[in-house]
Amino acid sequence: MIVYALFVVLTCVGCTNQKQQKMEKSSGQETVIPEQIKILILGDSLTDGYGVSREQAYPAQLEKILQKQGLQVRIINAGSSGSTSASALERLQWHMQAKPDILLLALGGNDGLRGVSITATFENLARTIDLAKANDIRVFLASMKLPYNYGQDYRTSFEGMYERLVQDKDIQAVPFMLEGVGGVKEMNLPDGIHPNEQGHVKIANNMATFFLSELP
Amino acid sequence: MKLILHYALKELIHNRKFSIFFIANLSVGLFAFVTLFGFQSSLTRTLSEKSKKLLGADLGVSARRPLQVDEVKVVENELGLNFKKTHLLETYSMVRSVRGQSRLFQIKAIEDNYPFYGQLTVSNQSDQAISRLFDNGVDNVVWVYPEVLLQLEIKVGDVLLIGEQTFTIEGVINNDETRGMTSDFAPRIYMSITKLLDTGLVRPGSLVWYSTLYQINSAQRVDALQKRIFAAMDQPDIRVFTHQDSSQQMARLMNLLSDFLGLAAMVALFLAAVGLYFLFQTFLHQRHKQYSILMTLGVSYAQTVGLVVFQVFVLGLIGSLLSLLMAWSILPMSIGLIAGMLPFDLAFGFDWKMIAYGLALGVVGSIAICLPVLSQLKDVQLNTLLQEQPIRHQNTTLLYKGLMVGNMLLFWMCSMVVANSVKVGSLFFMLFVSSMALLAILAKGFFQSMESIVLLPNIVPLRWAWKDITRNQFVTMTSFLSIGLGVVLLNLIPQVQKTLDVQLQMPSESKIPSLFLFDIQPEQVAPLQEILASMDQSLLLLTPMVRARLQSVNDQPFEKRKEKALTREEERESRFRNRGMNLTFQDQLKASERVVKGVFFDRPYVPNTNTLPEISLEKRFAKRLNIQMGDKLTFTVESIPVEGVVTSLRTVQWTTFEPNFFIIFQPGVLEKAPKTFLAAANVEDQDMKNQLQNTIVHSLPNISVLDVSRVVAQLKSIMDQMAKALQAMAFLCLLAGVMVLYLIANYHTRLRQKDIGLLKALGASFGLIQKTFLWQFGLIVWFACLSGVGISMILSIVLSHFIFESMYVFSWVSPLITLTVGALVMMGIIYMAIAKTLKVSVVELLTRV
Repeated sequence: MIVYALFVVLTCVGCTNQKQQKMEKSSGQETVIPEQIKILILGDSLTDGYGVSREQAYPAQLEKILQKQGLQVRIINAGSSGSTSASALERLQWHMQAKPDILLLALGGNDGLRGVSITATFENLARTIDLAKANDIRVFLASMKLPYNYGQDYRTSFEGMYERLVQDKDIQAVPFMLEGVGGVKEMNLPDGIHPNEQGHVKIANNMATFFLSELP
Repeated sequence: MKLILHYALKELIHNRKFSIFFIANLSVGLFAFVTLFGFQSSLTRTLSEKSKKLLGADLGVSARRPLQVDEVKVVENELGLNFKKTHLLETYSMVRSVRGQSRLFQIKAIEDNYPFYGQLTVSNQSDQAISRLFDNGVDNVVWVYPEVLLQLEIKVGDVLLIGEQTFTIEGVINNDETRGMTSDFAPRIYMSITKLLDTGLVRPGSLVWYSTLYQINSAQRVDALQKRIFAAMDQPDIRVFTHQDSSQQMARLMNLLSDFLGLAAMVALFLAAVGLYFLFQTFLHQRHKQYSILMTLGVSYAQTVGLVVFQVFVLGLIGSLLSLLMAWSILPMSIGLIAGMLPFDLAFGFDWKMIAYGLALGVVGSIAICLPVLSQLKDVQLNTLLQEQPIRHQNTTLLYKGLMVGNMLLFWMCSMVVANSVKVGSLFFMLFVSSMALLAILAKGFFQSMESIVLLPNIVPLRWAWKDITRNQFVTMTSFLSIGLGVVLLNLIPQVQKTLDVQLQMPSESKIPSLFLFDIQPEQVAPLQEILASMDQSLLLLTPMVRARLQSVNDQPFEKRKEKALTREEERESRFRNRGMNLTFQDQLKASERVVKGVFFDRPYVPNTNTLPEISLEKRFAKRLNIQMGDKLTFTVESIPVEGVVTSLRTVQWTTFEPNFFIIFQPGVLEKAPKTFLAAANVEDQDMKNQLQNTIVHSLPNISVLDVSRVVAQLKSIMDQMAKALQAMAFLCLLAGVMVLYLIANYHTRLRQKDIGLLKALGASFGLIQKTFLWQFGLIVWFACLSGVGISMILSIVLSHFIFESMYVFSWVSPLITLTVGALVMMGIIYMAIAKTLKVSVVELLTRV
């Protein structure tokens, strides 16, 4: 199987799942096929589920929770460990072939940890949001927080950057994903940074509450 | 008894030539052994001291949280009472200069007793300056790496804002022995722990490594302590580490050298043993009648054996003391030479182990080697006094065989001790035994083919030689075996050395990277190249990197779901499998890569065919994951599945310092996948390096630049000197080998003295006798040398593969030199010995034995 072939498959999946509801004739009767919403989560190791299996990472857990609640959603986990916001634009362009309805942008954490300038991160995320919006993709922004050791000034500027993006780009912010997970020993891997299985369940629940209130 | 001992000593003095040869052979063999063994243990000891400096302690525990009191208690209960401890906090923070520039730095907070080993050399290295770092009464001060000054464009005495506090730069760290052989992500700043706590950077929710380092003042082994603490501590987030863990890269290099030295030491020892065996055979052969007379005069068999054992004991003691004396006087000088080449001081000293091994092997080993020969004394009977025929000793008695087996077991034990590993030592031993067996088979084949040849050129000396060979099977067989074995050992070391040499070869200076650049986005490649071009520089290499997860192997899930409580080992394995991997794609092998199994793809993948894309895996990586050739691997790249089949396994010569990947895909598959690039550059000038780093930070801020020049220089220096050390050791083995070949040739000529005497008595001319024996020995020597060289090449292939994990490098030079020089030298010795024998009167020759 090759990537080229997959593009085709994904594109076709995208084609058959249009945003509007489809009607299909079956035994002379019209059946309503529920709308499937495709959520693309563009993120880093947090989304990738570093150290846990992909099925146990929060995107897969979130999909299950939302589906249980009757929402026809498909979540594309576009998490890549170690990635910075600089990669966001190219990666979104690649995933656009799957025609996502929603983009959850969960990047910037590694920028902060590496001390990348706030301006550069802002511009990277802004360009990505612009591309999504230009393609009628609804954008949610997951803001990140930095550990205290990075210093108050940098932390404040870093968190402020997400607020500015939400305002400037008129998009919606999702609540802090790691609420109840960050800094809690039982929720993290031994490295103290990445969530463990329990942590991913908690993140998925945090996100589910938000999406259930936001999605039709 | 006293009389017999007196007689024994007198006999040794009387047989001066034998005694000197015995002592010389033993001394040379043991000297090589003691030198190599001593060098090996010095290296291990020095490495241990060096690694202690890298950690600054013997053992440590750390976690990304403060250790609880009960956790500390668990550690210290295992350590006992005799230890010192110090605390260490490490974190990263954005630090701002007075000019308003801010950069990410590593902060290392220490206590005043850090480090226990090694030292930090600060530009302002006065006692006052050092105490100021820990003095709470004065201003906040820090020590910084020079890169901090360069990156923030500041100087000593300037102020830095770290967290909520300002700090004055008190000094610049010129040398940090605790830095290790790794490249830090960011330059380091040192401060005291109390001052770091005042900055407000350390609090719940901060990413900080909390470590406690211990200096253990007892004889406990740190690795055993580490295991015990690990077992007692049931917290997966606590790391228990020793100084040995901190120098793994160096240990890997040194293990290579140490294994080679172990092998060379074994070869030297074996050569000495072979030499002693033949020397003693010669001696016993000569002394046969004397022993017969002794036994006729009423000395018992046991007393006769005791007499000879005493003689061997005396010679062994003198030989081993001499070798230790030689080592003691010469070694500090030779080690000094080698040590000067190493990037650290090599602490060479005589330890009790070395003296004990030297003496034990010299005395016990000599006796053990001579015992099988001595068992032949049982054959001695009065009637031999009256016989004129030389006595052919029987090597097939049960006692002889038993003693030989005992010797082999002793040698096996020595192999394991020297190799410091049951596996490696046993492999050495098995290879030696196998080569002997192979030589015996070849010798047998040699006889049979000789006997079957009926048509010979009409050359009289050749015909006589031919008949002699087929008639004297015992002499021919032992000659063949001993010469063959000597050549195997002689040629083995240069062969292995050549293989290791190639592994240690590095690219030219201009191709060795000094900077690694990560997270380069596709659209940043051109701007990056422009920046470098503006400085007259270019990238050494640019490699695409695609992040992926291995989902399944042959459609069986690879990732591990955690559904139940796992042991720490299972959890570690599970985390490893779920971490993701880096893939790359390339259309040809790099110079540092070599396919060891299968075929590397030579063309891009063609989609829509019924085949899967090809994958090449690094050999050790495949072994760790238990992936075989032909396995189907399914990766996901950001949820998109990508499949491929393993069609080749590679080894990587990591000494080229090129970034290498475990998994390489055939081109035509991953090109459009989201990727970043990894690049390397060679920028030697420090100012230019700083300028480049600053430009990249401003124009392409996400790109991380890692300065690897210090680590590369350190590794390069070690490898350069390792190659020289290998040559020196190979030369030492060569000396021992030549000595043994001389003894073998001498022994075999002596065995034929009687025949020479007979030919002389029959009126054969000197020339005819000389030619006959030269033909005879020539045939044996050349065929044995040829077999020995062949077997040594097989042995070096096996050793390269299993011990040194290197690809065997074939070279004609060493086998050709061993073959021609070895054979010619032996022929020369035999020629001289025959010439000398011919000068002796017929009567003396016939009555000698």
